[in-house]
Amino acid sequence: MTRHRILFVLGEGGHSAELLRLVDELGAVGDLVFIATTADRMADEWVPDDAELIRVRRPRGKDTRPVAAVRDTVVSFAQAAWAVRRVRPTAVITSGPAIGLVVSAAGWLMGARIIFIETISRVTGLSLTGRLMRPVADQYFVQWPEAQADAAGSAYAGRLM
Amino acid sequence: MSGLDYLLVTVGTTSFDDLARAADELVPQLSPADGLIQTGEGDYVPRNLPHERFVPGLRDLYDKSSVVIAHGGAATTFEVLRAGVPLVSVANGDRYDDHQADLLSELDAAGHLVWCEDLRNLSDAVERAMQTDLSPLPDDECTIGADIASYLSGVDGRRRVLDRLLLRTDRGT
Repeated sequence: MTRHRILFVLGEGGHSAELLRLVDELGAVGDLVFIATTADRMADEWVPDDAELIRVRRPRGKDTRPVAAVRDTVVSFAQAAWAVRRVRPTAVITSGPAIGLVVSAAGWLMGARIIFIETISRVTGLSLTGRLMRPVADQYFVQWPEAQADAAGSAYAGRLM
Repeated sequence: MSGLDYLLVTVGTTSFDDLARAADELVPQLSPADGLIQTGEGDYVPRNLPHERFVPGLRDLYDKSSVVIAHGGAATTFEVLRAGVPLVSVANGDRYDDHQADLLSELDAAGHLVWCEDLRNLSDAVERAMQTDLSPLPDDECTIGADIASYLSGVDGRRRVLDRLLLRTDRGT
């Protein structure tokens, strides 16, 4: 069996901290490639030294006007699609920042399996990203047993933090 | 109140001036022997404790803290709880994706931390955190990594999107 390539989508702050817990375990089954927005100041510090880090534009800023948000999302998607095309991952893993949605959409279109882990911040109810990821996610984890009720077919398998 | 060896205040990587200011103004009353206020991208400059914008080794400071006053971000919250240090958490209402209060109310109800809903009550919240025996976070085994690894071991190559659209039954976990 060929070794998998796994695309890890980092997010600002907590999203990355959650996901990085999986680096050791998944590094054993595949080569990890990381993707983060250019606004993510922590990514360089967090990505393992021997792993590749791809930067894309942040799809949705905090205070951007609608026109800018659409433009940023289009650019972000194009960059993500280019990255997915080059990396050809078997799986995309994200814990739900906006960039995770963009990379997952590109990955889904190019046949990658999508693995979504709802952020631990969500005790009940899903995040907007979490709701949007429902139809495309092959594996869907929540980190609170209570949240399983909001996502049929989701799994609770403990917490990353 | 006395006996505070080290007071750590952290607002996270964004800005939360209201918290930095409220905590700073509480310092004379708490009179900790030492401490640090991490201010992130905020404009407020603390006067009563040493302060830094970003602290790369922040988690190394949890262990020596008598109490931590923190924003409600999940990473910080869980790191402090795992360190077993009394925690006072304040939701940052400036965040555009505001779900911190949801998490904090849940953890407060379970007795893991003290959720300070209103910064005017920060003093009481700190006192409560110091005097109450906060219950440690349960250590549920996490098999997310193992589950994903096991799933991927059964995945062979990439799927064509067309196949996906037709074979809807293999969705889910």
